[in-house]
Amino acid sequence: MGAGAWPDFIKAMHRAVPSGSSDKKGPDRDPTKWALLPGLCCQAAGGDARWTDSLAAAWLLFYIAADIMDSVEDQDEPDPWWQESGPGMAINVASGLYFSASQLLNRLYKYEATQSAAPDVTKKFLNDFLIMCSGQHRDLTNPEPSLDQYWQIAAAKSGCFFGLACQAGARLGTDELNIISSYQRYGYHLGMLIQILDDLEDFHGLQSSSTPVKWTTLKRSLPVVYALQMYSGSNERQLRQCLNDASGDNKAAEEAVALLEGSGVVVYLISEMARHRDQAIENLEQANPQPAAAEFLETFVRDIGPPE
Amino acid sequence: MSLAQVVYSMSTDNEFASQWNLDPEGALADKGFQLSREEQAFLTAGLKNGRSGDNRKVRLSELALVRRGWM
Repeated sequence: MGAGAWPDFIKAMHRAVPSGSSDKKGPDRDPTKWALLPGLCCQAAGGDARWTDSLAAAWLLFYIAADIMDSVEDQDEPDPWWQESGPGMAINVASGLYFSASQLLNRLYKYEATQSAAPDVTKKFLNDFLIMCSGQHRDLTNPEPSLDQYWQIAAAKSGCFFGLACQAGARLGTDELNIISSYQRYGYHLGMLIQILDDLEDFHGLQSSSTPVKWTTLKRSLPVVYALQMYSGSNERQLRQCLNDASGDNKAAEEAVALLEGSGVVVYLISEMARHRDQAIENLEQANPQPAAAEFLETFVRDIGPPE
Repeated sequence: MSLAQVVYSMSTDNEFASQWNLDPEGALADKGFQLSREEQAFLTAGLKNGRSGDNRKVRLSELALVRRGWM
């Protein structure tokens, strides 16, 4: 990783890479698991998963870099490796990871199996990264998105990025555009499903005293965006007040949760998860995938989606 | 947006929720809502999984534990 970088900087970049199962954010946020997507989609599309080694590594480094930037921009609790040195160091490490990922993508031009697809894949990476940055820009500049805006932002960030992993992997396995598009849509819906789970992550603290609820983050989460959009009048005012007071007031926090639940948010979230689960699987089936890889891709979705 | 509106109405309007249980298409038409067949299926999944085995409403904090296995 990082040809040209100095040893201590390489060491810092290595420290930023999570160790898989020890990742604090739960298995659906383990990027090393999702880095299997390009290889599986390549194999499912008729290629050899090994052709995607550089691509998968690049996607993983992009994922980690974007996650670091997101944490800094959202002023999240720092990860241990940058707690002492601060956000400036974290941003520099993220920049190093972006450039390392770009070096890895360039390797696609070196090998016979991947060189013909390399221009398409690298162009797609850069294009989709600008879409993701646009989504992040809108997220940062719009503190209270509507429900439609929430879904647009989620699509530009998570949907786009997971769609990219699958589309780029499939592109190394086949030239057939309709097949490649099906994998892109599979990844998109998987990414949306992951985004919903990610938003729910912040609600863990409601049951666990060891993980305090970050109410400031929750204001832009899907459950709150949905409830604020649906409620009007006194319920809306009450929810806003409770959300504002919830950080230091348990009674306000309990009332906020009761108002959220009273809006039907649990049923709404599960319905949306069922939507993205079904559409991911439908697109996977349309791609007519090789069975062995398809089984893994389907399991990824079923493992995190609601039961049928 | 329409799926969200239907879910919200179902949670705040008992009569609509009861009518949905008997005749989903009729309930939607009476309220002026339009949902595709697929959306109706997603909502059915939401309603089914929105209750635990003992028919209790699933709490938001329980849903947050979804990755550790469904209720």
